[in-house]
Amino acid sequence: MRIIISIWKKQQKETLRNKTILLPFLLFPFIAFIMNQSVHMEGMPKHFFIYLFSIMYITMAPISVIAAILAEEKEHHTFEIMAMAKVNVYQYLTAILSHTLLICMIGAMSFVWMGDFTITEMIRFLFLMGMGCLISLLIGVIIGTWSTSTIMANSLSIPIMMIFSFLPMLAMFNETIQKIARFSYTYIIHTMMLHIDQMTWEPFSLVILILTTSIAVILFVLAYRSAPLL
Amino acid sequence: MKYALQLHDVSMSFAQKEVLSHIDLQVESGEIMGILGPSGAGKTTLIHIVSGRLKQCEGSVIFHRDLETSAYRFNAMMDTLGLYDRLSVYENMEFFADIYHRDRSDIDELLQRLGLQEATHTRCAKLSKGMRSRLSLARALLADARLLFLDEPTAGLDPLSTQMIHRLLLAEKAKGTTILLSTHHMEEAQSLCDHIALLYQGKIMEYGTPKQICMRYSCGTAIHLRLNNDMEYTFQSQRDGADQIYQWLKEERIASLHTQEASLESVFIQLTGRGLQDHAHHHIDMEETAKRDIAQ
Repeated sequence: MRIIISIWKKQQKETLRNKTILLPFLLFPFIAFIMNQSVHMEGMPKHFFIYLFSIMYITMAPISVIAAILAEEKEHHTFEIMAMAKVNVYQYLTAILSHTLLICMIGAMSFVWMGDFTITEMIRFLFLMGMGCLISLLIGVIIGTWSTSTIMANSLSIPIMMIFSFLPMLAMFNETIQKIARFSYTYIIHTMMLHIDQMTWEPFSLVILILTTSIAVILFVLAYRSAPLL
Repeated sequence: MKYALQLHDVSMSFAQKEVLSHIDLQVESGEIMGILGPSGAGKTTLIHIVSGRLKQCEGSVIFHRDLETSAYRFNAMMDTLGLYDRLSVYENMEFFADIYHRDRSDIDELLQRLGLQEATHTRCAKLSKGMRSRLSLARALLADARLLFLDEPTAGLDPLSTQMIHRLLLAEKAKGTTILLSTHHMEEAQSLCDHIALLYQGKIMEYGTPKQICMRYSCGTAIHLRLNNDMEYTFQSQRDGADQIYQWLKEERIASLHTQEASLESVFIQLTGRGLQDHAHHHIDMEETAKRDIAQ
């Protein structure tokens, strides 16, 4: 536990001083706030911009941040030093993932603040945000593990982030894309958000979420075997 | 004899390329053991095997039982340094002090010993190369490990920083710490190390005290002289030039005369010369040394 807390404290200092990491945490809530306040169209679903940008947020922020953190540790050879200090991969990932998840959830709270949610809706919204962040964090860990530099991590993150974050929006306008998007965790979470007042777990959605998480874990194991972090 | 570390017949290959070949090495407790070799000789692989990051393909690595029971038996200062650029000097130390369960007073003491107390709150990104190396060394010492591996600790440093690190290494040795020192600097190895292993292309070419190694390859003391007309001559042995030198002495033509004793540098060239010609893996330092030798 002492080691996990040490890594946590270290990462907190690093995150606060890293503008590249901080930016996605602030950018999406800020844009959502501006759009939510300034754009009102007839027939527009309630919380339209909040849901839209929260999906972008739970995809882009965790993936880009965690991949950058891991790639930077590799690039600066700090994993080697941690390995000598007998830090193991579970301790490291527990610290880094919990730290990033907490920051993501603080950002998620700002989306809650923008929408006039009931208590039940708020809990459901935060649950969905948490689940989305968790899957995105796993994807970020895979990218970070595979990457040998921050440049490579960015190059791999960007297309993956774009696909998952824009799929729900594109699915609104195109039926073919919607058929494909049904298999993405971001589309499922977005759809559940749109019906947050009557959220029910459809078996298909549940299967996709579990499948995505399982695939992410398997890919991480494969990535870690080929390029161990610690 | 008490050995802190023993390597028996250690071999390592990557993608069928043998990086270390049948390494046998005994490191006595409390000594400074120099590992000399050009880039690509296998030093980093060796250290990764000792640290447990890599598992050797063959052979065994045995630590003394005192080291087996200590919490952090081994620490290293790698040439890559591994510092967090956004954190200050103190915060870098603080992170590892928390992991090693060390007091804050230990950080202050180490920073003072390495002359970093004035840079305590400076971010690592703003430190000079010498200061970064010293910080990396301070962090390695923070673990209070009984066995230290230092990979090129003085590479590219100014003479003052080099002297400071040398003093610190001797102080650590006096405390009983066993140090494996990897270096390109033959003079550094000659002055600091109790034993030396010359590593080349994954093999230990020679092992012994610096004096023993030099004696083994010495073909007598060379004589270098300069005449009044600025012509310079080097005789590889005293016997070679005895008559000629005597003649010049009689004619009062000699402006200066020096003896040149065998050095680790010349031994290394003797040992690896053929290898350097056969393979393209030679380091720029070694090239320069070889050129100097040929010129003589």
